[in-house]
Amino acid sequence: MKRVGLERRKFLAGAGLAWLNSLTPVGAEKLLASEVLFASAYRDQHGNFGVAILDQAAAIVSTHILPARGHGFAVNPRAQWLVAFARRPGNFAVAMHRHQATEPVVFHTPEDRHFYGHGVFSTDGRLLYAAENAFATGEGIIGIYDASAGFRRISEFPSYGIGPHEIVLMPDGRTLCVANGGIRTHPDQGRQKLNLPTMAPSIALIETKSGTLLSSHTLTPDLHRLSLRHMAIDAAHQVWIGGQYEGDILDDVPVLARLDQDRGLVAVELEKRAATALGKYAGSVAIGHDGGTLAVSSPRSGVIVQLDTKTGKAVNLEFYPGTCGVQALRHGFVSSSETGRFGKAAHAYSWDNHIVRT
Amino acid sequence: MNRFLICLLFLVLGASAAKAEEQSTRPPIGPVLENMLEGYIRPGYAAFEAAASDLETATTTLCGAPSALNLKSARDSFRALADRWARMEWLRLGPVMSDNRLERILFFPDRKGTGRKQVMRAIASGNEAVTNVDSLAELSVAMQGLGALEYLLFGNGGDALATGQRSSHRCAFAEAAATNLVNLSGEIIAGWQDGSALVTAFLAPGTDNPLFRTDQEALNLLLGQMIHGLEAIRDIRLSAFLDKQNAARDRPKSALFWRSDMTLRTVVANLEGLQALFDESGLEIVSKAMAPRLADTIRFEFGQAIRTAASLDAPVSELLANPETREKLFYLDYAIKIIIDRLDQEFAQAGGLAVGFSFGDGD
Repeated sequence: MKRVGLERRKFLAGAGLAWLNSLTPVGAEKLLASEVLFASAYRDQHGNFGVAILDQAAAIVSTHILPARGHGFAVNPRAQWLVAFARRPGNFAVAMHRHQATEPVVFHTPEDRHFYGHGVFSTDGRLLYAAENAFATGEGIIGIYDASAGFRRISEFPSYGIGPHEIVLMPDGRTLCVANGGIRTHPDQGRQKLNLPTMAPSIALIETKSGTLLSSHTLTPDLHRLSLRHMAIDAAHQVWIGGQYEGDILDDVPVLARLDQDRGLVAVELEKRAATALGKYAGSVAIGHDGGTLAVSSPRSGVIVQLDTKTGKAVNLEFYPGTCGVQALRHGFVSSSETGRFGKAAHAYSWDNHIVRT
Repeated sequence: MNRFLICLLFLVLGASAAKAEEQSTRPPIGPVLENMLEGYIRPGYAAFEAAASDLETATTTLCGAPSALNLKSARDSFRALADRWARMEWLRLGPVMSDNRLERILFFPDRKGTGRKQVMRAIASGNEAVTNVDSLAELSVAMQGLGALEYLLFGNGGDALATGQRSSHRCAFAEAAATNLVNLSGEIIAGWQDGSALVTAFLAPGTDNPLFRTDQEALNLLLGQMIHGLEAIRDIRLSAFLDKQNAARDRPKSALFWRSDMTLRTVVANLEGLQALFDESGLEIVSKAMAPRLADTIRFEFGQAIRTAASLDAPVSELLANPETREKLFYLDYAIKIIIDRLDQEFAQAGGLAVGFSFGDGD
């Protein structure tokens, strides 16, 4: 217990001055007492953006100002880094370290790239892979940053599609799974979607060492407007993909897909109530602690659908207005809303779309 | 510590009780949806269809009897049609989102000028597929709609429509494109008819409704249409030709409808269309209790933006070349931002939505 306390104090020191300033004595107490910590991006009541660290009881431990709106995260238990990415079309990321007595590291994409809001670490925690847009051509890029060298960008390879969004590392530790959402955007045109008639989303499996495309998977052509965006991997190594439909909401289309080792990418049919509640829009997906339960959220209706990954059947539906962030707890899931709810707690923050375990 | 917790508990309970009361007294969204259907959606698409029919007639006349007068009439009809579409184009709901109808009516932005190149190639090669509405409807979306029509009527070689032969290839292409727009508008109107799955869903939020489950969700969607529309005017219409950093990088020939001199006029129509959505739907009722004067403020700000855009009634190249009018374009950009902020923040809050964060475009 004492050792945990010491570790966490180091985390405080390591997070830098701005971080310490934002940590209340109550927060420091929480930090020492809690085992599981979550991070999520937020917007406060004054319109400022930041990242908050919360404990298992959803109490805020600390907050950290970001230059603009944040989105997703990359964490690595070995490297002890927490990286927060800018929401598209932002070009900054902030890396915070638990132990080293360093200020948070702010790093950027090159001038002709921007982040898409997600990334993932290599198993050893040394390299960070980030989803990026080479916006002059619209080509999706995986930027590679060296965590051991101040997050210097050392290389890149293609994502083999347009609009890469979430990236996950497959259990073999050597393969990246990239959701190419398929939507072309250009920072000169804000967040406008420029290619809906021709969009072609895909799931690409890429070898991390060489950047070689191992395989690329698509749904049937009639589902080409289902942007494949968020992913989680279950205990059987199936990748579950949440989509966002860019066609007529009344079209009878699935919103969830599954990458099966044998069958490739298949659409997942949900029973009517769950499908209706998702409103053709999955905002976030997470796999439960047991590895066999998937949670899918939709900020439209505020639903969190839990389903059994073996049967693909919905086992539970919960509704909280404006919910999007969802993450595994030891038992069940914690979720957050743009209205300020985080789990059972209420905060004066609009929570962004994702929660990560630090 | 305990006393602090008790105080906090009371505060939280008090706040949630106030919130519950506020929600129960909020007026239902049903009448707003009905007003929007009857007062904005249906009349707006009907006017678009009528304008498309006018253009079809005008091009038929022109093709049968090329003359300066008939070309002028076709060009005027095009301008009226572009105006009508600009009043409806930011409604991203229903049949317009199927079968690429939105892009078939207007494909923009077209950064590489794909549409223009395809149209020029079709003219040069005398491609027969573009003169028949059925085969045209199967071709590239960029060749089918307003962009193609504008090039045919106003682009290089367009003047020859007044002096050329009867039934020229170029004129027949324009006629087919006009008929294509009549067909597309008819399909959209059909999708919004009583008894359609869309109208049934649109008028009654509910648990099994594929469009929206609750009144709040419906409000979120309507407000999202307005906010995304305003953002698009700024991000893909003004920014298509106006460079924020460097006047030397302005792109007057990347502006939408610069050939027909409809660039700023369609911005006016865009803004008037979104204000019509706001006014005709009676959306303001959701803000009345918490912010009784907010709707008037929003109307005033729409008025400011519309007046500014309307005062910029000159070719884009001239507006950009004159520092005074160029400056006014920045003011227009700012005036639009003001409306976005007002809707995104105060109005959303008054309607019980999260402030300035997400309208389902969550990434």
